[in-house]
Amino acid sequence: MNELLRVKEVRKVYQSQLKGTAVEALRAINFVVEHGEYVAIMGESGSGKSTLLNLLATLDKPTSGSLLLEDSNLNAIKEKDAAAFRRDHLGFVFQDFNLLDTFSVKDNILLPLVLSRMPLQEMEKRLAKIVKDLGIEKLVDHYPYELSGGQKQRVAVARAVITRPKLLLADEPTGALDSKTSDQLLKVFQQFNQSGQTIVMVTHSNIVASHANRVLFIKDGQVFHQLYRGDKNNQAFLETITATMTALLAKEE
Amino acid sequence: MFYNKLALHNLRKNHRAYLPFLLSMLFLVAVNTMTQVIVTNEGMKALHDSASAIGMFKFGNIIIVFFSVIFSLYTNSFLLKQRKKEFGLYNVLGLGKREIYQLMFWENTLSFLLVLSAGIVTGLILAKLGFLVLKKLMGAVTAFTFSFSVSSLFTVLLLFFLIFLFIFLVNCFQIKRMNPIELLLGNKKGEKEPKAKWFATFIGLICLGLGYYFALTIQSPIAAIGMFFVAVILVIIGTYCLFTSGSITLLKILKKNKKYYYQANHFITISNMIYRMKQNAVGLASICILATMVLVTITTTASLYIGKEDSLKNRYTHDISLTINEDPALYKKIVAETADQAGIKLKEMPEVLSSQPLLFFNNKENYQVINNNKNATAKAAKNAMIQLFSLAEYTKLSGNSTSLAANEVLVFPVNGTIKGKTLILNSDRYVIKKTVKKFGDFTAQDGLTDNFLVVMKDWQSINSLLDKWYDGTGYEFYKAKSYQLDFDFSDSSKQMRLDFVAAVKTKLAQQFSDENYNVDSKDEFEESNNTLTGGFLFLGIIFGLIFIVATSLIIYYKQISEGIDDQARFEILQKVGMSHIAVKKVIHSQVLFVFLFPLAVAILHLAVAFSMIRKLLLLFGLLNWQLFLVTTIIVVLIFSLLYLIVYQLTARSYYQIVERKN
Repeated sequence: MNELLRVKEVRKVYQSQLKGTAVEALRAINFVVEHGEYVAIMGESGSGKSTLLNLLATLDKPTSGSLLLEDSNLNAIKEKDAAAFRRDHLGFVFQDFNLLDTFSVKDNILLPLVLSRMPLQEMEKRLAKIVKDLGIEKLVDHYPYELSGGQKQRVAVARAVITRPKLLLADEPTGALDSKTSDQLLKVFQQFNQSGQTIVMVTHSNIVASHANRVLFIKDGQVFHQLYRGDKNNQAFLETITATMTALLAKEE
Repeated sequence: MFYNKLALHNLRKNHRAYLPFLLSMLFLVAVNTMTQVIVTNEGMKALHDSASAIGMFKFGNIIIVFFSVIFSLYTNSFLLKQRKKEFGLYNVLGLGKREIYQLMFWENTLSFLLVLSAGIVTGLILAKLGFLVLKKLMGAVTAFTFSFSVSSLFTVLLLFFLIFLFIFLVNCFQIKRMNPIELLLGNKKGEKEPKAKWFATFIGLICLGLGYYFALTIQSPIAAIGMFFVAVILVIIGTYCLFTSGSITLLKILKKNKKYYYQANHFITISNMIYRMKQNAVGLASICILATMVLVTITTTASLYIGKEDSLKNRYTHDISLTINEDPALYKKIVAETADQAGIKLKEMPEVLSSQPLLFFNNKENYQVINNNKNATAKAAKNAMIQLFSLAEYTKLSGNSTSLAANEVLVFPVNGTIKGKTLILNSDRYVIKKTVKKFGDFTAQDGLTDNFLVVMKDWQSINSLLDKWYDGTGYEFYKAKSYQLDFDFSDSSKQMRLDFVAAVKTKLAQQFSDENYNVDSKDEFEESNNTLTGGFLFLGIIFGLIFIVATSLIIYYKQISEGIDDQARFEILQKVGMSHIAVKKVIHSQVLFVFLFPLAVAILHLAVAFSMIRKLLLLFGLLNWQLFLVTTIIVVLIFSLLYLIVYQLTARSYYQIVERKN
């Protein structure tokens, strides 16, 4: 079995502190991600996709159900170990980049490695490779405020993958980019995936989702539907996704 | 007018940004009013030794004015930073820069009027209150009454008119340089990483090193007065340079060292500290300098105030001392008559006969007579006062009988030591037969110069020495015998005693030339010492208060501006893989460091200045250095406590911002 991530009957309930009313963000989520997969999770706002990502990122814990990354049970990780776990096994790309303005590009990328106390030589070796892959060699000594949005997001991607994470999590990674730089970034993601990187991405955009190999639709706290790319190219897959979305919306009415 | 309405509206709307500015300006107006009123107060002249008290307050007042100007600019810069975005919006929406200047003019005028009227009222109340405190501290006489002149208020008005005008011009200049987009972005613009400034760091090191060197090596109190201010200025320059460039240069060096820099603990701290220091260095250096100043003033003034009884006792063994250079019989008679008339009982001490106090220059243990004024003060550290006594006088005063050969002496060291067993006076060698521990009422005490009492065989040998040393005309004074008459009062009120001293002085002045006698009264000294030490302490307290308010405000501004930046960093670090606790620890330690650093440096400055200040205190007659040490430690402890309380209070607002989402 080539299974990397298994999400089983995950339920998440938010308890409002004031009124005591419970809001069920996730009802019963079940899915499996295999090694080397590129999965997009789609859903309208309020569908629970961000909650799901937070659970995968160990930033939050489910009310019931289990999340397994290979052999480790994400529920069982204690808060003080969660940070180290995130650092070693997961990579993150955020909508708003989340670069530290006090660090140069180089130091931003190296940040997780420094936190893991990796030897300097190894760090520099990895850095050299990653900045070349992402085409940001010339930017390493610059500071985030000197970069464009697309460049910043590449730096953020570099920071996410330099730890060689088992799973790369992306939360609306193109949300703050224009269509051209979005396209470039998605190509980068696809390349990474082709070289074996497992990616789980949350998005509400059909176009972004069409770059993935599989799309999960979340609605009302459940995986409502899923689509595999099969042999389709991006354009054809996009049409399938759009059609599905239309059908899902139509059903609702 | 449209703009004045808009300005008024702005003041109300922006109260969050404006309030600290208005409050600190109001405070400055109030403090200036208070010191002005006290300085120009007519009652001041009724004080004992009023000239020195007024001089002291004028000096304090000048410092407060300087401080007001600098601090106004500082608090204004924070206000402007917060307002820039709004001005940018007006600019984009169609107000030209000319109109923005008009708007600012009205805002400034309104805040000027508001601050001035409220500040002067507060200042007058504070002045009245301060006056009562001052009176109490000085133990002053009833003639010391409160009144104020309109001209003193006018001075304050003029001062703050100029300050507000200057602020207005600075703001206009700042706005003029900006384009609307920059104004809109305001303080959000990304900051460049600061560069290491080697030159400024070098200057800072030199200045601080020299300042410390002077402070540590100074020997004589008289030289200390002059060097004190040089050292203070050097240390101030050094502190500013080292805080602003030295800190960044040091951090940059650490950053260049990759082995050191790329370690989990150092990595985040160094890169954050570079930015923190860039933004805060001037503020921190100011806190440090102010803290040092206050520590120095309060320890000094409190020591003088607490030690005034002590210095009085050291200085006066008896209530009244008369030093007379001619036959004392007539003087005794006058004193006795005056006492009878006033109904005062006097206890007369045995009369002490000696030579005049003679000034010597210590040239490698050879004491050379200074019979002109050359070298007299220039090398005060190597000067020594020597007073000669006959053996008969010694026997009379101490009750010990001993014998002395012509080349033998007894020595009573009042201050300092003579090395070895010989005393060389102008190349004549004397064998020190004995260093005596007790000599009449004389006591050993620290002083400005070395001071020895030397007992010789008889007056004949003393006279022949004096003739040899002071050969020529114009030296008769040195050869005259000195009679010291001491009196103690038995049971009479202080006012009676003061009146009596005044009466004696008048009567003696009628009969004798003032070159031939000197009256020294313990009560009179106590009065003027009370004025001086009380006044000093009062100023010290005022400075302390101003400083605490200023620090609180600087810290408050820092917390607010940093909290917003740090909040984002805090979140990012957690997402990238630092645990909540680790991030909290890092931020907490950085914040704490930034606050403790100026305090630690201030205490270091104080420690280095300690021996220099001790020497200065000798000038004021405070000889008890243990008392000074204890006072210093207590003041440092209290101050640190207050500082930490201010820090805790403002840190709360910081953590509220930073931890909002956690």
